[in-house]
Amino acid sequence: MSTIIIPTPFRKFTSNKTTITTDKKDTHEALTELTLTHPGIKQYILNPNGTLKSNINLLVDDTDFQSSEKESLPLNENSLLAIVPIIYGG
Amino acid sequence: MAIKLSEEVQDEIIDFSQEQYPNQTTGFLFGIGGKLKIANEVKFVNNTASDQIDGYQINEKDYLNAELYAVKNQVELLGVYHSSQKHFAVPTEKDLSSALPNFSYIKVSLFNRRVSDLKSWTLNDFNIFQKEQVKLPEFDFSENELQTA
Repeated sequence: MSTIIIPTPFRKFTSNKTTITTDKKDTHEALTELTLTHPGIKQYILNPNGTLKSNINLLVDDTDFQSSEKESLPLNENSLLAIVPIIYGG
Repeated sequence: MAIKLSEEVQDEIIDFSQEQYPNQTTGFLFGIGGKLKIANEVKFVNNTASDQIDGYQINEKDYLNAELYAVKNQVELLGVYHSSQKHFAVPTEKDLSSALPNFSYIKVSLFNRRVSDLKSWTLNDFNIFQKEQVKLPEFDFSENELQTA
Protein backbone atom coordinates (compact mmCIF):
# COMPACT_ATOMS: atom_id res chain seq x y z
CA MET A 1 0.00 0.00 0.00
CA SER A 2 1.18 3.52 -0.78
CA THR A 3 0.55 6.47 1.49
CA ILE A 4 -0.78 9.86 0.40
CA ILE A 5 0.22 12.81 2.59
CA ILE A 6 -2.70 15.23 2.86
CA PRO A 7 -1.63 18.86 3.34
CA THR A 8 -3.17 20.70 6.29
CA PRO A 9 -5.49 22.98 4.24
CA PHE A 10 -7.22 19.92 2.75
CA ARG A 11 -7.66 17.87 5.92
CA LYS A 12 -11.06 19.39 6.47
CA PHE A 13 -12.10 17.17 3.56
CA THR A 14 -10.46 14.00 4.93
CA SER A 15 -11.90 14.08 8.46
CA ASN A 16 -8.57 15.51 9.67
CA LYS A 17 -6.62 12.49 8.48
CA THR A 18 -3.00 13.41 7.77
CA THR A 19 -2.48 10.41 5.49
CA ILE A 20 -4.63 8.14 3.33
CA THR A 21 -3.51 4.74 2.09
CA THR A 22 -4.06 3.51 -1.45
CA ASP A 23 -3.39 0.35 -3.42
CA LYS A 24 -3.43 2.19 -6.76
CA LYS A 25 -0.43 1.79 -9.02
CA ASP A 26 0.03 5.35 -10.23
CA THR A 27 -0.62 8.91 -9.12
CA HIS A 28 -3.49 9.50 -11.51
CA GLU A 29 -5.43 6.51 -10.19
CA ALA A 30 -4.58 7.38 -6.61
CA LEU A 31 -5.76 10.99 -6.92
CA THR A 32 -8.89 9.96 -8.79
CA GLU A 33 -9.74 7.56 -5.98
CA LEU A 34 -8.94 10.21 -3.37
CA THR A 35 -11.26 12.75 -4.98
CA LEU A 36 -14.05 10.20 -5.27
CA THR A 37 -13.86 9.17 -1.63
CA HIS A 38 -13.24 12.75 -0.43
CA PRO A 39 -14.96 14.95 -3.03
CA GLY A 40 -14.40 18.25 -1.22
CA ILE A 41 -10.71 18.11 -2.07
CA LYS A 42 -11.23 17.79 -5.82
CA GLN A 43 -11.69 21.45 -6.74
CA TYR A 44 -8.37 22.29 -5.10
CA ILE A 45 -6.15 19.65 -6.72
CA LEU A 46 -7.71 18.72 -10.08
CA ASN A 47 -9.00 20.71 -13.01
CA PRO A 48 -12.46 19.80 -14.35
CA ASN A 49 -10.78 17.64 -17.02
CA GLY A 50 -8.93 15.63 -14.36
CA THR A 51 -5.48 17.13 -14.85
CA LEU A 52 -3.45 18.44 -11.94
CA LYS A 53 -4.01 22.10 -11.04
CA SER A 54 -1.11 24.39 -11.79
CA ASN A 55 -0.58 25.34 -8.13
CA ILE A 56 -0.32 21.72 -6.98
CA ASN A 57 2.84 19.68 -7.14
CA LEU A 58 3.44 16.01 -6.42
CA LEU A 59 6.45 14.54 -4.70
CA VAL A 60 6.83 10.76 -4.86
CA ASP A 61 9.29 9.35 -2.35
CA ASP A 62 10.65 12.89 -1.96
CA THR A 63 11.45 13.19 -5.66
CA ASP A 64 10.19 16.20 -7.56
CA PHE A 65 9.32 15.27 -11.15
CA GLN A 66 8.96 17.43 -14.22
CA SER A 67 5.45 18.78 -14.59
CA SER A 68 4.84 16.77 -17.78
CA GLU A 69 5.44 13.52 -15.89
CA LYS A 70 3.27 14.27 -12.92
CA GLU A 71 -0.09 13.24 -14.30
CA SER A 72 0.75 9.55 -14.06
CA LEU A 73 3.75 8.65 -11.94
CA PRO A 74 4.12 5.01 -10.90
CA LEU A 75 3.61 4.14 -7.26
CA ASN A 76 5.55 1.25 -5.79
CA GLU A 77 4.78 -0.81 -2.72
CA ASN A 78 5.22 1.60 0.23
CA SER A 79 5.56 4.72 -1.93
CA LEU A 80 4.98 8.05 -0.23
CA LEU A 81 2.96 10.46 -2.36
CA ALA A 82 2.92 14.03 -1.09
CA ILE A 83 0.39 16.52 -2.43
CA VAL A 84 2.21 19.81 -2.16
CA PRO A 85 0.59 23.19 -2.78
CA ILE A 86 2.79 25.74 -4.48
CA ILE A 87 2.51 28.83 -2.33
CA TYR A 88 3.24 32.15 -3.96
CA GLY A 89 1.98 35.69 -4.13
CA GLY A 90 3.11 39.18 -3.40
CA MET B 1 -12.19 33.15 13.32
CA ALA B 2 -9.17 34.91 14.75
CA ILE B 3 -5.45 34.39 15.05
CA LYS B 4 -3.29 35.47 17.95
CA LEU B 5 0.44 36.02 17.45
CA SER B 6 2.75 35.54 20.37
CA GLU B 7 5.07 38.45 21.11
CA GLU B 8 8.06 36.41 19.93
CA VAL B 9 6.41 35.57 16.62
CA GLN B 10 5.34 39.15 16.04
CA ASP B 11 8.82 40.49 16.84
CA GLU B 12 10.58 37.90 14.69
CA ILE B 13 8.35 38.64 11.70
CA ILE B 14 8.78 42.39 12.02
CA ASP B 15 12.54 42.19 12.52
CA PHE B 16 13.09 39.80 9.61
CA SER B 17 10.79 41.73 7.27
CA GLN B 18 12.63 44.97 7.99
CA GLU B 19 16.04 43.34 7.77
CA GLN B 20 15.34 41.87 4.33
CA TYR B 21 13.64 45.00 2.97
CA PRO B 22 12.98 45.68 0.10
CA ASN B 23 12.79 41.94 -0.61
CA GLN B 24 9.64 40.12 0.34
CA THR B 25 9.99 37.52 3.07
CA THR B 26 7.89 34.52 3.97
CA GLY B 27 7.53 31.78 6.54
CA PHE B 28 5.25 29.24 8.13
CA LEU B 29 3.23 29.77 11.30
CA PHE B 30 2.81 26.93 13.77
CA GLY B 31 0.78 26.62 16.93
CA ILE B 32 -2.66 25.65 18.11
CA GLY B 33 -5.67 25.50 15.81
CA GLY B 34 -9.31 26.22 16.54
CA LYS B 35 -11.63 29.20 16.32
CA LEU B 36 -8.91 31.25 17.97
CA LYS B 37 -5.63 30.09 16.46
CA ILE B 38 -2.52 30.75 18.48
CA ALA B 39 0.70 31.15 16.51
CA ASN B 40 3.62 30.66 18.84
CA GLU B 41 6.30 29.70 16.33
CA VAL B 42 7.40 31.00 12.94
CA LYS B 43 9.87 29.31 10.63
CA PHE B 44 11.28 31.47 7.89
CA VAL B 45 11.91 29.88 4.50
CA ASN B 46 13.68 31.12 1.41
CA ASN B 47 11.74 33.27 -0.97
CA THR B 48 12.34 31.49 -4.29
CA ALA B 49 10.52 34.00 -6.51
CA SER B 50 12.61 35.23 -9.43
CA ASP B 51 11.84 38.83 -8.45
CA GLN B 52 11.87 38.94 -4.66
CA ILE B 53 10.88 42.60 -4.53
CA ASP B 54 7.72 41.93 -6.49
CA GLY B 55 6.67 38.58 -5.06
CA TYR B 56 7.33 35.49 -3.01
CA GLN B 57 7.25 31.76 -3.61
CA ILE B 58 7.89 28.79 -1.35
CA ASN B 59 9.83 25.76 -2.52
CA GLU B 60 7.77 22.56 -2.52
CA LYS B 61 10.22 20.71 -0.29
CA ASP B 62 10.10 23.54 2.25
CA TYR B 63 6.34 23.16 2.27
CA LEU B 64 6.55 19.40 2.79
CA ASN B 65 9.12 19.87 5.55
CA ALA B 66 6.73 22.26 7.30
CA GLU B 67 3.98 19.63 7.21
CA LEU B 68 6.33 16.94 8.51
CA TYR B 69 7.62 19.27 11.25
CA ALA B 70 4.05 19.91 12.41
CA VAL B 71 3.25 16.21 12.61
CA LYS B 72 6.51 15.38 14.38
CA ASN B 73 6.11 18.14 16.95
CA GLN B 74 2.35 17.75 17.36
CA VAL B 75 1.62 21.32 16.43
CA GLU B 76 -0.63 22.68 13.74
CA LEU B 77 0.52 24.34 10.56
CA LEU B 78 -1.69 27.41 10.73
CA GLY B 79 -0.66 29.28 7.60
CA VAL B 80 1.97 31.51 6.08
CA TYR B 81 3.01 35.10 6.32
CA HIS B 82 4.70 37.27 3.75
CA SER B 83 5.95 40.81 3.79
CA SER B 84 5.50 43.26 0.98
CA GLN B 85 6.84 46.74 0.41
CA LYS B 86 4.74 47.35 -2.69
CA HIS B 87 1.25 46.83 -1.39
CA PHE B 88 -0.98 47.50 1.57
CA ALA B 89 -1.68 44.51 3.78
CA VAL B 90 -4.51 43.34 1.56
CA PRO B 91 -4.40 40.37 -0.82
CA THR B 92 -3.46 40.87 -4.46
CA GLU B 93 -4.71 38.83 -7.41
CA LYS B 94 -1.46 36.89 -7.21
CA ASP B 95 -2.11 36.08 -3.55
CA LEU B 96 -5.60 34.86 -4.39
CA SER B 97 -4.46 32.67 -7.29
CA SER B 98 -2.52 30.32 -4.99
CA ALA B 99 -4.67 30.62 -1.87
CA LEU B 100 -5.80 27.50 -0.04
CA PRO B 101 -8.77 26.91 2.24
CA ASN B 102 -8.43 26.60 6.02
CA PHE B 103 -5.15 28.52 6.04
CA SER B 104 -4.24 31.90 7.47
CA TYR B 105 -2.43 34.33 5.19
CA ILE B 106 -0.75 37.06 7.15
CA LYS B 107 0.42 39.99 5.09
CA VAL B 108 2.86 42.52 6.48
CA SER B 109 3.11 45.85 4.74
CA LEU B 110 6.28 47.94 4.87
CA PHE B 111 6.91 51.50 3.77
CA ASN B 112 10.39 52.96 3.95
CA ARG B 113 11.61 49.86 5.79
CA ARG B 114 9.06 50.35 8.56
CA VAL B 115 6.26 47.88 9.17
CA SER B 116 3.09 49.90 8.72
CA ASP B 117 0.38 47.27 8.86
CA LEU B 118 -0.28 43.60 9.44
CA LYS B 119 -3.47 41.79 8.55
CA SER B 120 -4.60 38.19 8.24
CA TRP B 121 -6.82 36.74 5.54
CA THR B 122 -8.57 33.43 5.00
CA LEU B 123 -10.68 32.03 2.18
CA ASN B 124 -14.39 31.83 2.86
CA ASP B 125 -16.68 29.08 1.51
CA PHE B 126 -16.84 30.90 -1.82
CA ASN B 127 -13.03 31.04 -2.12
CA ILE B 128 -12.99 34.78 -1.55
CA PHE B 129 -10.54 36.32 0.89
CA GLN B 130 -12.07 37.59 4.10
CA LYS B 131 -10.29 39.43 6.86
CA GLU B 132 -9.40 37.37 9.89
CA GLN B 133 -9.16 39.14 13.22
CA VAL B 134 -5.55 39.40 14.41
CA LYS B 135 -4.76 39.64 18.08
CA LEU B 136 -1.36 41.22 18.48
CA PRO B 137 0.77 42.17 21.41
CA GLU B 138 1.04 45.94 21.58
CA PHE B 139 2.66 47.44 18.52
CA ASP B 140 2.52 51.02 17.37
CA PHE B 141 1.81 51.24 13.64
CA SER B 142 0.74 54.86 13.97
CA GLU B 143 4.08 56.42 13.05
CA ASN B 144 3.40 55.66 9.42
CA GLU B 145 0.69 57.75 7.82
CA LEU B 146 0.12 55.16 5.12
CA GLN B 147 -1.40 52.69 7.52
CA THR B 148 -4.58 51.15 6.13
CA ALA B 149 -7.86 51.21 8.01
